[in-house]
Amino acid sequence: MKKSAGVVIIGGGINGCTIAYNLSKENIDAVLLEKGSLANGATGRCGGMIWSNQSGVELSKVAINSGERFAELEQELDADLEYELADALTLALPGEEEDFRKAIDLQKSLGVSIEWLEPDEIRKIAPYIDVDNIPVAGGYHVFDHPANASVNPFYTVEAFAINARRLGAEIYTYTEVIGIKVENGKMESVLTNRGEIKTHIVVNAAGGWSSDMAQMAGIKIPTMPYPDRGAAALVTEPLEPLPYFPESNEIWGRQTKSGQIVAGRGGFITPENIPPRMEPVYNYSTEAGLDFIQELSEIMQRYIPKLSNVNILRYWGGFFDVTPDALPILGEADELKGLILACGCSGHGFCFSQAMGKFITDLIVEREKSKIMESFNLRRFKREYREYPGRWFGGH
Amino acid sequence: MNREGETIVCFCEDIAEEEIVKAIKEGYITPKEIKQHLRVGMGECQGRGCMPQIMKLISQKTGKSREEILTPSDRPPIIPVPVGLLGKIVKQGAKEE
Repeated sequence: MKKSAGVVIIGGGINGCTIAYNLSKENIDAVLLEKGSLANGATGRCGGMIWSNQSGVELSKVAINSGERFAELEQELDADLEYELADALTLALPGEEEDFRKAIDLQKSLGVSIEWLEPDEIRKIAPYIDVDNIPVAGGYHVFDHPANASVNPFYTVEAFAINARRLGAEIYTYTEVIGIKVENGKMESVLTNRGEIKTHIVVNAAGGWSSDMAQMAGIKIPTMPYPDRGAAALVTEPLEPLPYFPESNEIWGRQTKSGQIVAGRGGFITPENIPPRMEPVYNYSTEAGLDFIQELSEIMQRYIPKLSNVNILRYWGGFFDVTPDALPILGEADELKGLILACGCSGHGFCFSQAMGKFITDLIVEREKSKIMESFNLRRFKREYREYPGRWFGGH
Repeated sequence: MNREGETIVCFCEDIAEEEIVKAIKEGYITPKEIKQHLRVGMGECQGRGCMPQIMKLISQKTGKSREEILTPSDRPPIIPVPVGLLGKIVKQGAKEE
């Protein structure tokens, strides 16, 4: 193992691997540490989806920047990532029509190809959807736009890792960070179960483990692993292509290139919709309960009755790396120079990863940075620290 | 897609022993890494058919004992279950209440 590095990245998910690749492209010698295999946490459990309809204009712009970058990756990384533009249908449930129309206007103003559909139009393009039984107030159709797409998360992480290594990065899997050494307020080294690596810059891209990692450097960050209902998912056997797999606030999903459906419960955490009580998973359990699979199966059947005969191959649980305002924590910590945070994505880490990777790289090579991304700095929580109970700060 | 002379290990995803050995040589040395790389064990059998064989190959090629090799986590349901069967349980439960 290397004894020193320009930058040490903690976490081998989509964010860590993207950053490792981007830094290597800038000739910065980067080492990535992952305690399991790559894509071991939220990345390997997600649907691999990129969507532009985020809360508000700023997050939508972040997603669009990220999506435009995703569109270039297959060519740049010389790999099949199963990249596919979405041709997607999202259903409005009764009472949601107004919100949907506002979101459509916003998306249109950002250049996204999106259109409102009446229930009758949905019946026409997707007769297999049980519009009356769901019931549906309408929906939107998004198509042919790079920020509305999907990729295979495993292939994407692998392609980043292969290319980062080709450019000189070291990626150590099954290597656990056990300490971060800070001397006289200066980042000195990262301790692992396989030895010590000297560095002055550490990127914390550890997702659900990010508050634990920051605490090793003596910095408290309010992120926690939260078992949101949207973090669990199932995959079915392959079936004939459905023109649209309907999504809504009850369900997310897509049909993969192989014909399998990957789906989960919808309506997850957003800045406008933060549950009043959030309890972290202390044991990092990733088991999904029988109630999850029963509820999801019932929703799938209600939406598409002919799915009742389709076999579920496997299902799994997971957790989001959630912050109190459901926005990421990005950039350098004021209290410790050299500690760079790329975490707290609150369920949007895969979608935002390319914009985040660019921002973190711009920060490290001291280029001009995205203003929106700068607003996600840890310092926004400073004055409000006292309002958040201890459960936010790891150390369990 | 069957190629002459190759030994198919994963029948669900049509992956040959040669491809698995190549992956091990490239550094994918746990069943989980091979699974993510080649999709072995992600098909209908969920690894029940192929995983013992894959572990044996890893053991042969890396010199590690079977006990040292980290097995991938088993994910429910153990056998494929139709959406309709699981959905119905909820309905019945609701009626009983």
